[in-house]
Amino acid sequence: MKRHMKKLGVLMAIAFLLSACEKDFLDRPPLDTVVSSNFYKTEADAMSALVAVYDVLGYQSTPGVSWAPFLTMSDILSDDSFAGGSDPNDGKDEDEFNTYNIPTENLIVHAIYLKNYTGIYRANLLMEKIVDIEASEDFKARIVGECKFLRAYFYLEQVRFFENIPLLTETIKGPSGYIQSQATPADVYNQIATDLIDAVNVLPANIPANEKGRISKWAASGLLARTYLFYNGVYGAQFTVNENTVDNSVVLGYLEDMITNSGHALFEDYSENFHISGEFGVESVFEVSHGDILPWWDWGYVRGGEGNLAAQMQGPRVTGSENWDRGWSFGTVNYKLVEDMGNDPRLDYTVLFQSELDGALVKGYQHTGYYSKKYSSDAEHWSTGGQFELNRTCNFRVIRFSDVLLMAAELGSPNAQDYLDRVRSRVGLESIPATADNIYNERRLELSLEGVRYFDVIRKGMSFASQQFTSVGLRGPDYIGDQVIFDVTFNNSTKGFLPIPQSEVDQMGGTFTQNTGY
Amino acid sequence: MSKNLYKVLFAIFIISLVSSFSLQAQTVTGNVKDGTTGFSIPGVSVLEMGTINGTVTDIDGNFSLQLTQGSDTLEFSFMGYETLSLAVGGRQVIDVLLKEDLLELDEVVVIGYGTQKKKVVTGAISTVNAEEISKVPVLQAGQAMQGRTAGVQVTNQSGQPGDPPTIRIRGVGTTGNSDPLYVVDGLVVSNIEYLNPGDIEQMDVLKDAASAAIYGARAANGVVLITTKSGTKGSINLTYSTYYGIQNAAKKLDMLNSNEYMMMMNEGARNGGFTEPFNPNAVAEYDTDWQDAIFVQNAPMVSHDVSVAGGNDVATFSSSLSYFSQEGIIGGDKSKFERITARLNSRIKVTDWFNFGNNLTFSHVKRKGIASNSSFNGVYSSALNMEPLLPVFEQNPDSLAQPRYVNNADYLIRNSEGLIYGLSNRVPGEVVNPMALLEIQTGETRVDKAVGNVFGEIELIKGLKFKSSLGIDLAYVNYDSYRPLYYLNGAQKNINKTSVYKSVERYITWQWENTLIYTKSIKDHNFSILLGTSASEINGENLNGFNTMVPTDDPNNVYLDMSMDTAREAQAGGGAFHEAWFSAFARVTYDYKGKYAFTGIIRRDGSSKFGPNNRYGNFPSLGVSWLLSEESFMPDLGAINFLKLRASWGINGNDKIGSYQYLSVMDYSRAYIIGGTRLIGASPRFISNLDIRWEESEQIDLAIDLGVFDDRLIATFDYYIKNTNGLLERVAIPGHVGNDPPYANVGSVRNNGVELSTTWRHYIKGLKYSIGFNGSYNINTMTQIANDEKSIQGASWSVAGPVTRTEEGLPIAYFYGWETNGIFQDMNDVNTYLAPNGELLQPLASPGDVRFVDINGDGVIDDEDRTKIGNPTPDFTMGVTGSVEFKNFDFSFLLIGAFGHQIFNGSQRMDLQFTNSTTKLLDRWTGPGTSNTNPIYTWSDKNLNNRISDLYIENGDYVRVKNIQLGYSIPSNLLSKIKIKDWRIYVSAENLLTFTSYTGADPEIGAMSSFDIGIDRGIYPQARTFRFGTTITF
Repeated sequence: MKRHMKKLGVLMAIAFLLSACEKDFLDRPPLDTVVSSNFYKTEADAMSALVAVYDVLGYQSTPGVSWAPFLTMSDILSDDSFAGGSDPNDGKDEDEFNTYNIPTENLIVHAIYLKNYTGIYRANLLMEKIVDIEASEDFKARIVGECKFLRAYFYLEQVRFFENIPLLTETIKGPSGYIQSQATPADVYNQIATDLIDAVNVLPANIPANEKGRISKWAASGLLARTYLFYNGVYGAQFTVNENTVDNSVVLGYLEDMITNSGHALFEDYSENFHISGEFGVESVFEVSHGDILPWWDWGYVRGGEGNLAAQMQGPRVTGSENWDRGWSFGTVNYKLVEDMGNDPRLDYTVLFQSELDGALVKGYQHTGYYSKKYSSDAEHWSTGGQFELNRTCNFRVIRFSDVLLMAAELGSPNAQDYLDRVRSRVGLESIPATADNIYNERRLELSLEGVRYFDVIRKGMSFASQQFTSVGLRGPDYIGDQVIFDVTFNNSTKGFLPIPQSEVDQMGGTFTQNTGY
Repeated sequence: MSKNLYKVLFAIFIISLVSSFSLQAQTVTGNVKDGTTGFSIPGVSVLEMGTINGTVTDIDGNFSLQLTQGSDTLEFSFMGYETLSLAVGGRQVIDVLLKEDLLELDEVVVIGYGTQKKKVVTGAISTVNAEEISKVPVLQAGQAMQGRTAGVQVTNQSGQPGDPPTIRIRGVGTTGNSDPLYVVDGLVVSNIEYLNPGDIEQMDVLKDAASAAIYGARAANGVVLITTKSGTKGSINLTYSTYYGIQNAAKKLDMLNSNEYMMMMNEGARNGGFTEPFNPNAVAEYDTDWQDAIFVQNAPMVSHDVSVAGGNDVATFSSSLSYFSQEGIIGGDKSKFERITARLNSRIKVTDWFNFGNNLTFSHVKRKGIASNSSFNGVYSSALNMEPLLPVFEQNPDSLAQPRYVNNADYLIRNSEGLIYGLSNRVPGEVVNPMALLEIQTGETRVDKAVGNVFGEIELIKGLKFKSSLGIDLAYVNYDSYRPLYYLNGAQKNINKTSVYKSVERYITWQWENTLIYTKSIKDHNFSILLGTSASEINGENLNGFNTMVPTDDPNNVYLDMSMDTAREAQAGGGAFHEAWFSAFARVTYDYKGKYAFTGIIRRDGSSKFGPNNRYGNFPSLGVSWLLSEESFMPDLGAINFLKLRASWGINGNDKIGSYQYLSVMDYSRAYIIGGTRLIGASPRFISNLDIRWEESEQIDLAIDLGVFDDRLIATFDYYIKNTNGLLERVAIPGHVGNDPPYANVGSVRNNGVELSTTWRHYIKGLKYSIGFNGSYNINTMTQIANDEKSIQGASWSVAGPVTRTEEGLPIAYFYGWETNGIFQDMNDVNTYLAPNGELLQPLASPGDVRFVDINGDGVIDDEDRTKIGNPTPDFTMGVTGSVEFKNFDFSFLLIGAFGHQIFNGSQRMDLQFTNSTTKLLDRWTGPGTSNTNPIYTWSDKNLNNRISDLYIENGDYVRVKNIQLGYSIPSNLLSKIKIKDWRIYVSAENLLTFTSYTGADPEIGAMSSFDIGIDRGIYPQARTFRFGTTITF
């Protein structure tokens, strides 16, 4: 008996030693949280993931880094506006943009860079996950189309600002993939064009009211043209998409299709473009939504809210006014724009004059007496709840139909004269010949303070940019401060690109080359 | 008399009983003496082997024992002497000489899954035994190691009852959780707060990687093995121990009194350009000493501990029941710790080849606490900052008619007698009447815990044993707090709704371990092989709820259901987690005559905390030792009778991060407005890093063990280098990755140092004494941080921001701030303090302001000039123990000390106006030549004199008389008449004296996290305690 017991014991011991190495024992998925590995399963999951990609369109700040609305920052880079802010230290990083003296450690530079890759990552991730999601092919195709559009949008912002950037069309799976090299601009632009043409082919033409904010095929066509004009202007090249050349005529074809078939048109009233009533209206080809549906309070995670920070930053520093309220006076408008627009009727809808303001106005840094009227702290866009600075409700019109008409004209449409006339007659201006110069100049008048100007100038070459962006001895009648703070000299050694953020260069240990001029 | 009568009757009964079995009863008498000195030894236990029949020697060393014939062998044992077994062989008188057992190296140490004689141990293991713990009772198990174990730094986190001590073995080995692994009776437990220190038989600290490798992936911070008491064969002993202590504040800071306060406030206002708030001739109505107000006089501490232990050849057991309660010196029962424990350990020899046993403990812990080291809402920090002009209770009708009382009449805090606590209308922010703050504290934590294991052991063939052990650790943790309506000042108030918060958490861990051990000696070759597996799993779940408008008179009995709120603001939450480990391990030990010894360990650990890519890791170690003094070729070493060299190498892991960190959790804070609706989006919060693995610590240990003068002096000297690589941190990753970083294995830290522990023991003419010293010197260096900045920001202080920082090449969590260089004595000083370009370095400075150093020489004083201004971690820590026994008296002491570190003295809120200060403020600069260290006192600090600088840094060195004790044992000849075996009474004092130049309340400041050490935010100081206690064994 005793002997048997011993044997039994030995057997038990050996059996346990062998059997206990069960693999599953250590596999412990989370119980109370959803993780990426068990999320992407249903159509609803895919929609949530898609919303997270759209979410980045509204990002105008990077937590712990800086506020950096695309609109405000690109206009400060251009001759449309100055840095502004309450005092020179308030907008130190903004002022570095304004004076083209941008250190590689500039926080706004870093914030922009991080934001766009956040969007690219989310788009890439969803496109990887959609394959295994339980859904119809149509549903999947539309989501992929939207992801491609959004990825293209983020890449365009990124490559126009930074030129030499890593091109990632799938997510990085682990630390071994962290080290990347910069792609050639051509590779990036061709990827953008490929994505946009794919998007045009699968996205719907009509977006029903309950989906306003999602992308139509026309938005992709518009963005393709905007990308082409910049790429062709700066590099003198055409896109190569799937080994086919995409040139002026191909791009124009997309625009003509939109002009003819999309149903998009101009508002009768130019200013309708900047009112709530005009949101996702007939003129809006691509628009980013903002709002205060969930009133936001958290200054530590501004991104969680949906307010338009550009509007808050650009609003006048005025209190006690019934029409404007407590902005931060960034992006004060350059007198040059006021001069350039002259008697153009659109000036009154573009520039807010200090004489229009009631209440107590605090005049901050680089005070010119002019503010943006298109995106501002006006009463119509005040929030009904939450921290008022974080809940400005105006949507950002990224591509308007008037821009499409002007792009088509610029690309050599046989209807160029008609397109130019439509833009001008809408604001009561007479026809002028549709020459290249006139078409180009119309963009300045029609689209200023909408984040378009800087890239329109850069694409015309460095000597033109130097001529436009260098402004000395100009400050208008209502300025505050020495002339020297309004004098700006463009730095063409940078070719108009921002530096690659220093910390990114550092982390790559030599695989990144800093942009020229920095 | 009647007692004796009973005794006689009882004896007759026993004798008659025994004699019915035996032919005759035999009585043996004799005397026990010290083999070296020839002095008699009282109190020696004399036991008839294999029975429960025994006695002890009297004061003259004499004994008399009636044998029961159960055995023919007597066993003589006494602490400090070698146990002697003698055959009676029919003798009636046996005189015995006991040999002093000074050779500590013959002691048995616990090495994990077994024990080993210290003589052949190849690793670095420190031991604290029951004698040390029972002689100087500690409140919590962890404190037993304080000052007694070289290389183990024990720092009380604060003086609050129940606050666990910070325990660091061989330095801070990680930027994450640096707590050691606790293993109680073979079971890995999350903490040792539940243990009754009186239940501990032995604590063994595995310090080097070679020893700790047997616990593999969880051992990198060292391992503390705790063995609880088990019974021994022989008579059944019932022991009752108790003590009662009174605690008082050991030190009061010298604060400004009302007159000084008013003078200084006027000066601060005047210097800052404000109107002076007080009439210079004003006479203060009150002069409140807030420290007197908050410190409780004679806060009680009480302990009762009953244990019964004994056994025979078949079964032994040890069982105990204990109660401990301690009220704090601040807040009394608002800061209180209570612990009840019940324990049963038993061993049963089922057959000669099968043993069965268990260790079972139930414990209940109740803890009420206040913020113990906090700039915000700390009771002590409020006491140090509140104005002396405010009375504890406001009774003046004129004052009570002021708006702050009248407008908040419904929210005023009153004491039990209805007196209204005073409200300051001067001191702002988080500084409030500390007595009122105490009154509204209600948080209480209750932990019910059952910890235990059962095991069986089969001897398969001679020398080969199989052991299977199944353990559980089950805990219920309840927390509740009630928030009454209150108004303490404009910022600290709750005037809306009362509320109650409750949470319940349940954790259960099970662990199943199986080991095969084979031990064999062939001639002088001794070896053993251990093979084992271990599997364990932890499951946890929690629920919490919150509800509003819960009217009550009794904050201790508030429940969610009591809500009267029609707005229904109730909230609920809850979650769950699970983790698992699976391990296999092997150990080989070998020695030849004890002269050459070798230990090799390999453990393979799998942890569910890591992804499939790196779920398993291997943890090897090797150790060798050489007993040089036994070599025949060794020349005579003179007084040195024992000399052993040890060397070991090993690799351990640390897996103390949260669950699922290799995965990425979906974050639902994304949103976008589509179709006029805010849709919720989801994307991963972090990118996943399937490659994360445990931190890996590699350590080399070189050591000498020495015995001198027949082992009267023994010493151990260790040198070690410990490199921990792959520290788990979230550090910045390239922006193009597109999401926030996951945990990754980045960074390295090195600890290297030396340890010395030495004891001198001697026995002369009835006087037995010993003195021990242990010291450790450790240098901590962060050797790598894999982010851009090569640094990690640490803890913050008050509103001033980060005060510690961890950076490559410097110790973990060093103090970080501006360096100062005196005080500007006049305008000329300011105007001649120039940048390289000739501009003023401090254009905003005035005479009396602090001169800051432009560390980077860029011509401006800014954030970039911050530098290392101190190190909170001591280089050198030590303990000195001493004991003297003479006749029936015993005396012992324990000194602890720490050196080479600094303390950030941040108990004053200089950022607020009207806060009180220590009298150090009176030494401020008042004109040229008055001070070069204390700046001008001003309310408008344009020069930012109060920014974090070396002016807050003080030398943290201290030596503390941790314990001093005097005991008396009632002579055994008196005791034997009342059937008591042993009775000792003692008085002791804790924290009697502290020698330090530190000006704050207490230089012993434990870690609140790895990055938050040595910052005094008004720390709850440790009490000075006087205890009276007694231990009776029946």
